[in-house]
Amino acid sequence: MRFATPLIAGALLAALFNAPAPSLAQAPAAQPAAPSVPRPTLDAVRARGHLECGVHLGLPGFSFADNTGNWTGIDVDLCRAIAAAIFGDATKVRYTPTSVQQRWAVLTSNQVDLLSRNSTITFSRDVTLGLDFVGINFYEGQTFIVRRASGVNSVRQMDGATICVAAGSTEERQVQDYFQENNMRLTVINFQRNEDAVAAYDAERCDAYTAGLGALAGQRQRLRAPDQHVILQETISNDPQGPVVRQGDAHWGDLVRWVLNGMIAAEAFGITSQNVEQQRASSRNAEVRRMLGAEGNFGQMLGLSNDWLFNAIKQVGNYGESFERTVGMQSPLRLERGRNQLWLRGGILFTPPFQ
Amino acid sequence: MSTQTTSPARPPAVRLRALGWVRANLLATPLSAAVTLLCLWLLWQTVPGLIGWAVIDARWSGTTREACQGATGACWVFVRAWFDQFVYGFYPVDQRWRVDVAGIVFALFAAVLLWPGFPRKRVVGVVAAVAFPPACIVLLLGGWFGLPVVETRLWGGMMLTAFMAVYAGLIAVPLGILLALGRQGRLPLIRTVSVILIEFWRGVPILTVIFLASFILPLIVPAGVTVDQLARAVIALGLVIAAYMAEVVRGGLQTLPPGQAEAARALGLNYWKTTLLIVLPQALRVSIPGLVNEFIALIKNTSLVLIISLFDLLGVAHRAKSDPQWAGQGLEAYVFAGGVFWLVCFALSRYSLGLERRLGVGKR
Amino acid sequence: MSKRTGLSRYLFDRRVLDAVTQVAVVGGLCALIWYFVSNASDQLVRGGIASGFDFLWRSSGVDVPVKLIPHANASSYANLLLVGVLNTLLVSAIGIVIATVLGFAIGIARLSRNWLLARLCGAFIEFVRNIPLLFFVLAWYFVIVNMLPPLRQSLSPGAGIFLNNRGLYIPWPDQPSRFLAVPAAFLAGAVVFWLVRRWAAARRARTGRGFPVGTVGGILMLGLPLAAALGAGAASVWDVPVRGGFNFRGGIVLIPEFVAIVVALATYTAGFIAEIVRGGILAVSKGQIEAAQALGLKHGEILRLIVVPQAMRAIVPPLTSQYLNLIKNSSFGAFIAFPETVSVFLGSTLTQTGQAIEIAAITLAIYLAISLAVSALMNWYNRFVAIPTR
Repeated sequence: MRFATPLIAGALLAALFNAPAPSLAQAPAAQPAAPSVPRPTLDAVRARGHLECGVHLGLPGFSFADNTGNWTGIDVDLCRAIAAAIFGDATKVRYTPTSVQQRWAVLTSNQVDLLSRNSTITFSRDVTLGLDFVGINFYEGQTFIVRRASGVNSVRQMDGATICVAAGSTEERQVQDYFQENNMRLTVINFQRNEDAVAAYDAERCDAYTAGLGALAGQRQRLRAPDQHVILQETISNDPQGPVVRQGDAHWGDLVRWVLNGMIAAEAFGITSQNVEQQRASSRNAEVRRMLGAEGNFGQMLGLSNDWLFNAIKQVGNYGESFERTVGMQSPLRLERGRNQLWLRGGILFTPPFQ
Repeated sequence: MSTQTTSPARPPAVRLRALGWVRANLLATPLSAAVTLLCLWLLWQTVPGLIGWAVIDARWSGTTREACQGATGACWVFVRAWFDQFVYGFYPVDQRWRVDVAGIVFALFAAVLLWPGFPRKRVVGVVAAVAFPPACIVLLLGGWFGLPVVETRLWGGMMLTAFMAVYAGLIAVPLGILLALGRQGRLPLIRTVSVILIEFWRGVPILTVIFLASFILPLIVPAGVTVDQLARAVIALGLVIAAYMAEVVRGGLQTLPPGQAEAARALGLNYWKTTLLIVLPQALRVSIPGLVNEFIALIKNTSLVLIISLFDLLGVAHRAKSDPQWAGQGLEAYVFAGGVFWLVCFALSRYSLGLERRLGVGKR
Repeated sequence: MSKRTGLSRYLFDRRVLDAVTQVAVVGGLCALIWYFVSNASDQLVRGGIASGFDFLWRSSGVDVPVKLIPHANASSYANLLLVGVLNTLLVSAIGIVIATVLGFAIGIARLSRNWLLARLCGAFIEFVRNIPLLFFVLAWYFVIVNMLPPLRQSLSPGAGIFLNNRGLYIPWPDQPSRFLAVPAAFLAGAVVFWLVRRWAAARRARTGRGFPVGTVGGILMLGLPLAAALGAGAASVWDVPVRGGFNFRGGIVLIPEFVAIVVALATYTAGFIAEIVRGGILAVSKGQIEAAQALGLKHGEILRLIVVPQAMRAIVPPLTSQYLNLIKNSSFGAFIAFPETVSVFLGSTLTQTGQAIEIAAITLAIYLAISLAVSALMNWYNRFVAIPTR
């Protein structure tokens, strides 16, 4: 898969993870008003009065708390959008920062309702950990950050390098696989805490620190002299990342997936937080009208009010707005959209139709 | 500190006495003289450099990294900039008075309880053990009486260290006493259970217990029940230290002549009365120094919660060192945190030694 | 308690009460455990989380920088675990040796008649004992990684030795097994020493004549291994580290993670051992020493024949618990990326497989087994030093 073009891989993955969509499309036909679908997680969230969202301990651009405890980031935005869809209020979220090691346990033991924590979707995680990955909100690709002075500008030049990595991450395995495949030698120093791996790299304990392209852009902000480091632009893996829910509550998985799809679709239809009211009032596109609750009762089918996506987009924005604000050009990370561009504009970000 | 200075042969004048002392204690034999020289050389190599780094060449005033530009010594400005973090962690600035209040009340209780011979100690002790802990949690956590909630993940620094040490101690002492009584009791099943529990907790590293508490505890409580991260760490610390404290209390129980309990029995007291009125007061009196030592170990072990991303005093130092705004600093943060730990633990160990001596005098 | 008649007499019967109490406590504990287990299995089943020990044989995909047995990223989790356990044992063994030597030296020096030396050792003990071990681990690691020069500016004291913040690079013999001659020589020396000592004791009992047992022992147990080491070194072809690309090639490297954890463990534990040694020596009653002096024994003889044997009796039990502490504390390596048991198993393996309960059980069992084994070993040794008549 590593050598497949990103486009094909992404399209495959998009198809894979949106596979349940047809069943949802049939749902209205089978049971028009479906109050009997068990919705344990949504009920619990409603009863609690807020959404519990598991996030990263602190990765600028993805999930990061400033000194006042205010969370921002693209993963955080997804939590806010879901809270807005449920409560009509994007602030009704509580964030639980989780380490690489803790994240699955925190989710499976019901301490959070979902993980939105730049976690890569993998086969064994999906199959053995009791998790469901319900979408992709960031196409990440693993690469390396190296010191500018080292003169390295390609992964292939790193034979014999010492690499700092967070223990238990997908990167820990991928970097080994990649070096082995290419007959290169490496020494991996596996840190329990991501921050320690970054700090050790900064102290020149390692020649490189490896993580996703986006994550590295975030971590670079924490180095002593960010501009003396280069992030290699070639990626050695394809790491689609997205929200994770517990297995066993299909409805909740649908809800999270369609809020995310809604944000992506909103960008495709040009719905922004600025024009969402006007779009609901006057759009003549049936799909837009259904999304925003001007037509049909899509919200109710999910057990929400019909203005669910309207609230999410009004308060959080569409995917593009969120991207630019948190990791894109308007943020310190200054990431290109790249593969995270809409399928309409050369990226692989895709959403099934709201029908 | 027990000194074993051999008294020199009483010289007549003061100056001679000093000289005699030097001769007897520093230059007694050629070997001793060589050792003295070696020690002096070692001190000469380290102490001036250390003082230079920590005091003379250090930068004390200023607020930013620029204040330390070109300094060859320590940059204490860095520690000052992080000072609030060292004390409160991320505790919200406008709520920090709550930590201050809790700290002052705690310090008052501690002072009274550690003061030998303070009147009405028992009453204060009961208040400190029964009323203070829940009141303190309410104050720090909030949610009642209009206090805004401050989630435990925002706690940090010294307040977190103190909180964990105190509350784990509150779990460990009663549990330790129970385990020790169980192990020393005559009921074979309970004895077996106590032995297994004690040896199990003593046989595994505290780090693994803390690590596991963060994974296993959520799994074994009913689904949907969440146990706070900090609470998990405190429970883990408390359980392990309880086992160590149980062994100390057992030592105390063993010093009691069996006649004491037998006499109480003969007077018609039942097991609990015998234990509570006769055995425990005496056994605990003997055990207090050992318990204080275990408490010191507990304080030191609180820093292990760094592995589950709680930042106690040492954790804050660890985090401070990777603050990009203070690039190149870091040792200062460790030195500061280590220094605070040292002061607290050293004071406590002195206190325990003093107690031991006083108790020893009474006993022998 | 009222008059004990009828039912109440039966109720207050001690045996009945005892039985009821025990059943209640044990039953309560069992119920609690059952409750926990049922909750856990409930969560596992409902969550569709895999369980069982099959994961041990799956490929781990993790490689580590320190390993005593072959391991590659294709090796199984079980192999990774074994690597971790061996690293725990390695660090513990080295730590125990250094801590014991250092601890005994400092503990004895603490009692020196030289005031300055005694005070310096006292200061060291008080310094080390009152600071968390984690401080030393993190601080040593910080000092090594941040204060030693980076790779490009490696310090080189010569002889193919290089020091930088990636570690200490030293030449390595082509056949390290040659150096097995060193422990062999030590053992041989010890056996000969033991025979000589028996012979000397017998001769002393027969004729009253002394024999410089200590000196001979020193020559045998230090000189023989030293000679063996020199011989093995001369016979070996040395693989000398050379700078290449990102790193040094050849030789072996003591990585900072390893050095930091060993040094921190050894110095910290030495502080505690020193205090135990001091206490043990002070516990030997003055009268014994005075009596020995009155008998005309020399200073060295008093130490060897009177003080040390008695002090050891007081030293060995607490020393055992310090050794156990050191082994358990080697888990602190997890904080600085040293691949010991906790790090590779509770860290990497747990995160990748998510099988918390199985991994918890294995980890705890391993530490318990190590603890029990060391306790047994030290108890066995303790029987030698304990007073035989009791």
